[in-house]
Amino acid sequence: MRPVITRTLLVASVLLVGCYANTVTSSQQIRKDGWLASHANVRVVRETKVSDDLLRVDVEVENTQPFNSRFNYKFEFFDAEGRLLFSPVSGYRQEQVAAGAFSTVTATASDPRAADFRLTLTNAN
Amino acid sequence: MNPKPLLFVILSAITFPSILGCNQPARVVTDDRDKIVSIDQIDVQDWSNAADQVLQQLFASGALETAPMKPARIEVTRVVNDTAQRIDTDLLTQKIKIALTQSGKVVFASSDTRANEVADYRDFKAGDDAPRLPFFVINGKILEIRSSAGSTKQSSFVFQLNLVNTVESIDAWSGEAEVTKQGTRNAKNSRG
Amino acid sequence: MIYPERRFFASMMLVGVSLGGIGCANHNDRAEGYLSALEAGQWSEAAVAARRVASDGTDRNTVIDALELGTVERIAGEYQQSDESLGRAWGAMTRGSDPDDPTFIDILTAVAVNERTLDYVGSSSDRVMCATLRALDMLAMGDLETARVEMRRAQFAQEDAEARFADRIAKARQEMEADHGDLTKIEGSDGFKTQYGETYDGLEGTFRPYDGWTNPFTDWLTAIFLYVDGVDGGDKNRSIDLLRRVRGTIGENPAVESDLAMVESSVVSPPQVWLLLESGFAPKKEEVSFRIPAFIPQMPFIGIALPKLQQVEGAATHATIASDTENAQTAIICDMGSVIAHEFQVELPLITGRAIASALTKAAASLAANLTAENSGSGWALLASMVATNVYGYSTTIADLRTWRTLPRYYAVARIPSPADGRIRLAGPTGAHEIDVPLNRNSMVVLRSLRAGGPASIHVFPLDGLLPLEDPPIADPLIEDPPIDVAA
Repeated sequence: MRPVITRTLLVASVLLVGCYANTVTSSQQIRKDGWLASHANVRVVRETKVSDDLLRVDVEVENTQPFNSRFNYKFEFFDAEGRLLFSPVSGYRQEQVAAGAFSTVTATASDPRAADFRLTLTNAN
Repeated sequence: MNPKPLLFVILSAITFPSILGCNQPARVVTDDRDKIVSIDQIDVQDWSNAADQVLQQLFASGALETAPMKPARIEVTRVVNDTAQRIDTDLLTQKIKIALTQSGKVVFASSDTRANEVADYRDFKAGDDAPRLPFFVINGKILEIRSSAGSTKQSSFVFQLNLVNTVESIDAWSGEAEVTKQGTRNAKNSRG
Repeated sequence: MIYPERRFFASMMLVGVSLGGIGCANHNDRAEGYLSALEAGQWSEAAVAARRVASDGTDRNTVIDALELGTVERIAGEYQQSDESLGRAWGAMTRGSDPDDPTFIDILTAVAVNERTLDYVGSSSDRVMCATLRALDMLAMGDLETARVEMRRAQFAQEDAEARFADRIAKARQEMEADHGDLTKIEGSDGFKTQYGETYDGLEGTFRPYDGWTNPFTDWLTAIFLYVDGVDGGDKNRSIDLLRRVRGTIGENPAVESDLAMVESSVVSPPQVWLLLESGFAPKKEEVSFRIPAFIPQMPFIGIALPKLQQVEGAATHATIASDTENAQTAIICDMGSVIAHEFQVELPLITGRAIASALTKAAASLAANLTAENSGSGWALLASMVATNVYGYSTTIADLRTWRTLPRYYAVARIPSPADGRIRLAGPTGAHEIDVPLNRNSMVVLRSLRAGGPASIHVFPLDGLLPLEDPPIADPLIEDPPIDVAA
């Protein structure tokens, strides 16, 4: 799928879903490899604040393949100056997603200085 | 040229690396995806996963904001290990302590005897006889459920945590995380 | 071309090599040292003797020796060492013979010239009791966290037995029948059936095997632990369920009913003292020999040796516990004979199958050696062959008698409220003793009696995880000659 169409779809879906403080992130924030590069659509990215000042990110990943798949993902948080923030619970998690279905992966920064994030999606099949 | 030495060299060239290939030298593993996945044990990456799950639930609940003072004083009392593994539950609670302290919403009461003695002495010198009571207490339980079908084994570890408001003695928040592993044997990594 | 003489000598060498593997003392003989020391009340000497046996370098006995050693160390109050020994047995049992491992069936079906040369891999009840005793070690050391883990392991081991062990044993027997075509024919013969019936028909009546794979002592101990260390409704419910399961296994029992009523009650009970009587020795195995038809023309009969469970008599059946205001008599909540006999019954077709297959293999080898000697034309060679093969057959027809001997025959329990002055009196066939228990705390008194009227080891520990008390003076009888009550 072309990047322009992807972005258009992304924006459109965000507008459809958009209920609170949604942000569409740049493609640099989300990195993919393996089957995910071509068959995982990141449909919605939501950035909100929980517990007053902690950044929470929700990302919906769609499996466009005709079979169930598995992927690893990792969130990292950065402060306003782009410095990586340490987290005792950061690391790769694994998620299963059925054929043609969505899976929502989330993360909450434990440091109130978190201003940006990076999500890495990698193949686990 | 005699073909025998040549044959020997070729065979050696083929077999030697394959013998070497069976042995894996020790290395430092930093990527979770390269860590061993055991079916019936809590692996190091599972602790981080479980702590992450419950912390997200706790932050999302807003329960920490119910304390009148910020940061609120908090203590971990007991996390019961109800599994068949001899494990140290600090592997979970320490991660939660670090993350909660990092959030700036709570401060943990020290369990260090000397530190408490010194603090008591300072209070005494200052004429302050009020006990240092925690506003919140964290307790919990880790459970293990096993099942099998044929030669496939499955272990689920359930991590339950409660945040108790000590003023009213009520559970201000309860969270649960689950890690389930399945397979016929342990795996070297989770890359698939 | 191979000359007949050479073939003969080759056959004889094979027989000779096999004879080399015979020198294995049976487990009853090996255990004699520490069993005698225990009977004499010499706890430390018993531990030394058990350590000596465990370090004699016979790898095939690693599991059984470590189980025996851990049990003796526990009786001697050496809890840390006991946990380590039992941990060694646990590790070997779980690593070396996982019922889920495809090779497990091969282990069960392994046919050896001599059964005693096979590794002892541990029975299902061994696993359950190994974890249960480690839990008791941990309770005695005040480590409730680890005690809970061990009780979980014991519960999982019970589930394993139900879900997998029984199934693997049945599959192993099927494989054995497929590999040895004559097995069912021999077992169906009148000669075999008569001797089998004479040996094993009394098993039901003598041991009254429990119906199922659960161990009522393990269930009871876990239930009491979950009551005293319970942190939530989940623990309380499990405690109730386990006590109900004990009742289901052993029937109505005053001690279990009393504990169940207390656990179910919504009223918080005052601190209690449980008396846990561990009495006598678990059943041993003795060897019985059969002469059975072999359906081989030149060798119509062959000899096999099988193990038979035998009760160790002399165990005290009860004890009493009393304070100034309360008293109670113990009730038996677990007869280890019934636990072991259940598993033995399930395994018996496999044990007989292995013995018959081994005898048939040896018969075929002996026959081949004798025929070769006969063909050599030398009368001396034939005579030598016949003598050697007879000696070989006789000396390798040996049953595996390994079973956990130092476990008690009975577990019996009673409970009274913790006395205000902390003083309790024990009486009955286990001797009269006066001891102190922790004030105003739940506690357990473990009374290990080897035989009625004999020496007893007594240990007391609180059940709240705080520092354990100093052990009371051991076996300090108030009555010189306690009444003898020998179990039937």
